Amino acid sequence: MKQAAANPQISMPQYFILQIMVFGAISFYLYPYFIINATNQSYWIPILIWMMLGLLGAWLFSRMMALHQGMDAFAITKQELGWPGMILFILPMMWFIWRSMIIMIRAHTEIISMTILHTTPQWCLNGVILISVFLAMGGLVPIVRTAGVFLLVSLPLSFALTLLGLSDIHLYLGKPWIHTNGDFITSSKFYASSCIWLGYLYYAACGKYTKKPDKLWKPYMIAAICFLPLIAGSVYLPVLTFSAEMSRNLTLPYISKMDSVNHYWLVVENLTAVFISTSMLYLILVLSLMLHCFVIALKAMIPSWNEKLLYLLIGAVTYASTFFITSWNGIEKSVEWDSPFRLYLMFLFPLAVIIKSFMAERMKSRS
Amino acid sequence: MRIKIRRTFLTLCLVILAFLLQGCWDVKDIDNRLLVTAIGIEQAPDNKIRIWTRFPIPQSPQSSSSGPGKDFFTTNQLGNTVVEAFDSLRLKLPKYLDMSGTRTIFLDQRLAEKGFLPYLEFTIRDRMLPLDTVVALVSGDMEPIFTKPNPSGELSGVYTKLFFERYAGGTAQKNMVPLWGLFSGYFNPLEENLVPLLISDPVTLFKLKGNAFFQGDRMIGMLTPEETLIYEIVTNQMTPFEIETAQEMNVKILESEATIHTRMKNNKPVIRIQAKLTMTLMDSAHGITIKPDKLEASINRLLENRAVKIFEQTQKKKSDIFKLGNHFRGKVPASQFNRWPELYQHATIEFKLDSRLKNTGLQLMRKPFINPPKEG
Repeated sequence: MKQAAANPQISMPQYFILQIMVFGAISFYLYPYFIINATNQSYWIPILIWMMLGLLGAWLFSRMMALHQGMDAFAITKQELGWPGMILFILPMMWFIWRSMIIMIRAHTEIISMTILHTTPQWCLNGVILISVFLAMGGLVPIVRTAGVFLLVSLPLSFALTLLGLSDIHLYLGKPWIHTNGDFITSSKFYASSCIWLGYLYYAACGKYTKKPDKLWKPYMIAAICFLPLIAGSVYLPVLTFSAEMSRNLTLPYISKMDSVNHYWLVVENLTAVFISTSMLYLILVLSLMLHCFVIALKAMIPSWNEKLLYLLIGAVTYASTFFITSWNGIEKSVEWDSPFRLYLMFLFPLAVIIKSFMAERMKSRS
Repeated sequence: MRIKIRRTFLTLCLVILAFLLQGCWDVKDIDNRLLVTAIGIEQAPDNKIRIWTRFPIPQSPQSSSSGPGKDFFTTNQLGNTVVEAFDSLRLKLPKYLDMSGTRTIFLDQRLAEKGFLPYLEFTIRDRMLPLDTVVALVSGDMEPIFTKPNPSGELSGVYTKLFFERYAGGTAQKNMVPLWGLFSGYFNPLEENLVPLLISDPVTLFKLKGNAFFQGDRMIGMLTPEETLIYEIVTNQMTPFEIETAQEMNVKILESEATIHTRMKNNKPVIRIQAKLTMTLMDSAHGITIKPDKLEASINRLLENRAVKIFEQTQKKKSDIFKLGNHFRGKVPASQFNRWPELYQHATIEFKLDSRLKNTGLQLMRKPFINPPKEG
């Protein structure tokens, strides 16, 4: 009984909820811009390519987590690869999580500034990180429970907004529907669009909360499939409404789409405000998950540090760092520049640990 | 004791965080705002711009008990640019100028002929106005539209939008164009804009004169309200309120469905439009005897002839208001999209109409033709 309390388990549906929150936090702001600018042909093809690659990455990551049941990804890396592995993988992962947190906060606060709170200063809006710090300090189980509550509010609203977005669309604007010349392969924006499919990396700190780490790819897959209509909607709704040419000229195509929805019978006039409120729920939750992940990674390197203080410290540093990104252009460029780094962590990190473990086992069996 | 202090500290932190959550800053109460409901942008002498703004004045039953007061007020301001004129206007106003509730923008026809972009670009660059604000052109003086009271009441300026709204006062001929639609037509090389053109009316403030068609951001011609019906049929935007007269009879078009087939032949677009209309007889005035199939044929002829004229007119001016270019996505390389106005000019367009009289009223339920001669 005591052991169960010390090691509470997170069920597969709860992992699914976590993943849905990650998709919700990352999918709506930059993703439509990247996909619409990556190709002139069928947009669903680059979307599905990255989804498949994401599934492959999630499967690899689950295999890695299954190497040592009950351990998190950082402890596994430390055990399999030692300090070189920590330098090669854990440090880049920490750097990446930290950068992602800064970009996400800045992107969301910039959107809020551009749309509903024009005069609220950035230092106030960036303070959203403090809420996540407090949530993260509770540990992974409170984060998961909060995710459940947030999901009840945010997911139905996201679906409702997507359904409302179906007004004023023209299918001919999405042509060609089943043709591509692969033009996106040479576009850096195509690689930047991988940013929404890396959610499984945030399972890194979940090892000790599951008895079946090898099955962690399943909640990821189900979440990806369930969220796919919303992801496709974030790209296709602006294209089918404004045309691809106008959407490419918009900083925030999906938010502009929300702005354009007008029905005589619709009571809520400002759908953008509803959309942003749901986005903030996703954001607060995912920031706390990322913070938790970051602190667990740091603890794997320096176990003696006080966890609570680390949360406060990382929160404060992240908050201060958000001021270094001064424009929306900076946010777009940051996500593009992070692409090689992201792909390295999505695929090479789990693959390297699995290969090293496989080789070590073979050597052991030979000897 | 320590636990108690810790709990108090955490509660305090949560309360502070709750303050952060609402994000309010620099609050402006509704009392401190002047909500613009309609904006007019008019050409003024010396290459200047005059902006017109109409603000509703909220009235409670108590305040209006002394009698009906004016429920709006209007301002106008000269400037070199629209933004400069708004800045100057702010110097005169006692409260904050809030354009977030704007329902309609009226643009002077003369400015639209020069190109609307310099006058409306501010609306999408800075998010001052809602993207669903209705855009309309005005022929002639804007002053009466902004200074006279609306006969049906101010309705916080909503009447300017209701005029176009299909569920309210609008008919298909009015062709409501939201701000985002105007810019979509501008940015998309495969289509052009068709924007309603209004003219002031001594009783109803304004009325529809026609619909202006564009090339890029410049107005280059006008369709009459009757001609606009062809646009509505081709773009499948017809609403079941239109009345068309043929053989001195009035019919209501209930439904319309156009199917568009496109292909490239010898580097020239070939477009076949097949439209089906479902109608009902509204009024068989003058006691003319005519069989339903003859009536259908005459309507087909009337609308097809009208369509030929409009296609010729828009092709001559390279203005694809029917958005037909979008049907060539995937058939023409994206790099060639900018050539679409030339391709449209030389396109072969066939328009076939198939109209069906769904019913002809109670009278013809008994006899297979309209207004049968009285027997005996």
